[in-house]
Amino acid sequence: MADDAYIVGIFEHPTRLATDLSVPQLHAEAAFGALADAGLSMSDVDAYYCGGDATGLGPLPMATYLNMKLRHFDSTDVGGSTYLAHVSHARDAIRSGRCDVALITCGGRPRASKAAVVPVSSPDMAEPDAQFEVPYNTNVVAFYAMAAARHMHEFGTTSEQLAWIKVAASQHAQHNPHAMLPKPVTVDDVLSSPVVASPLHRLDCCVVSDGGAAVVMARSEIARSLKRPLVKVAGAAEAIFHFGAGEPHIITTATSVSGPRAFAEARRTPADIKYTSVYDSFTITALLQIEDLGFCKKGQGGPFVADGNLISGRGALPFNTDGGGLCNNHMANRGGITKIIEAVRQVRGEAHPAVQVKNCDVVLANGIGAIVGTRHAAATLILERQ
Amino acid sequence: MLSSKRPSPIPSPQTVEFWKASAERKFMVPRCRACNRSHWYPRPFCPHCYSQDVALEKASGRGKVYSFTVLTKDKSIVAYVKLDEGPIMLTSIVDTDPEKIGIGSEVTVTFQPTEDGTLVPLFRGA
Repeated sequence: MADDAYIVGIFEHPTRLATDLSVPQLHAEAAFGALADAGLSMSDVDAYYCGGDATGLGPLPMATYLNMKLRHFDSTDVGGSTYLAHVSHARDAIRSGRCDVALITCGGRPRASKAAVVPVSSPDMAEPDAQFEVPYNTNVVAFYAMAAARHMHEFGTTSEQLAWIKVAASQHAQHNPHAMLPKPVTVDDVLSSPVVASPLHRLDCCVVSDGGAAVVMARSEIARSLKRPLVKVAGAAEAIFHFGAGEPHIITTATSVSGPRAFAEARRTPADIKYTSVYDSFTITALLQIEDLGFCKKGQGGPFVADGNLISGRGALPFNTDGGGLCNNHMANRGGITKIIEAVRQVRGEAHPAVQVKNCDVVLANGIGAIVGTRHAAATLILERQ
Repeated sequence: MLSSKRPSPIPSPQTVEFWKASAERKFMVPRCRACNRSHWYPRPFCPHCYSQDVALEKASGRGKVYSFTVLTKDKSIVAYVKLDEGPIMLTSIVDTDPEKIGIGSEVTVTFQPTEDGTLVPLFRGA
């Protein structure tokens, strides 16, 4: 029988402004932190996973920098959801005996460097549709604003309902000493913040932060030898949605494919999930995933998230109890790895006591990478405490 | 018209014909001669049936707003427009009061120059 894979170590760097830290250093410090959390050392690592935020060519520079001895690697890069996909891929690698201990790192310093987007190096490397996109002067928030506008048009969703997502995240962030925006906000605060791209306000958007984070996974025998709670990857799946031939998915994400597959593998349903991390680059991003994961019907996300339903200890679906990307951390413009980390804290019972969900034995983490509307990758993980 | 700050497209060998037509204020949409379906954006094959027998056809230039947003920084309107030919296109809406359009509004094609003078198709309220 195939071996199971466990998440045995996590670490989120406390910095949110890495003026004096290089990108490789952020990855390295996160790796050291997650290995220490697991009770493992760098010499135990035989597989390494990183995304496009790691400097240079795939896993090679970090493998050198950390002097890792690797027999397996993966540098799948799909933006913010990359690290959830890495957990899925590492799970498969561990199951098939390709590696024993997998290290996943993320990190970057867009705040310190003020360079949020890496320019395309040559016309040959431009995306095939770039020439039909750049003349229209669009940007990331514009795409999500169009998703929100369409959702409002089809389902009657309101800006007040979206604002509740930010309110819930801020209620959680007040308990996180490292959160970039620790102050609770109200629905009125969100609605009175400046509109960036109608109908989205400034407070509908995530933070831009520097940081580093890492996750360590191990096969069953190793995981059981460590003095940490056993967190099994019970379900994992990915999917890609894109513009295709001229049929953009702007109000349904690829989570509608990855979610049901992860639930089926874990033999769970949305009713079993005690806590969920969802990607919150914007409030609308979180709303779309909550629907696509089946926590409510498509189109009912607005009423579902309103009135504090996402607030731990108050609502039916506690979410992003670290404050999420909206209030805590969106390091390197990639918020996926912190979705895994807070889900692990919750299922271990190690979240902040003010936000820890009781009897939290089954949790979910979901990511959306790149841009809903043009092309994006979703990855869903279901984690269980053994 | 104000001087343009629109970045210029970098044509690929397969899209030179599209941009040449655009320079003559002709908005072309590709259609597959094998399956007869239109697609957006132009490609040297059909993304529906993968036939390479695709051709640019002069489009009606009409469509309806599928979704849109007004960017506060410059009051520009970014939109998805569902073309009468079928596909949904990412574009801009210009020369139109944002208060006078909504999702479902009819729009028609127009052209504006980018930084290097290339004419790009975009839309205005019908």
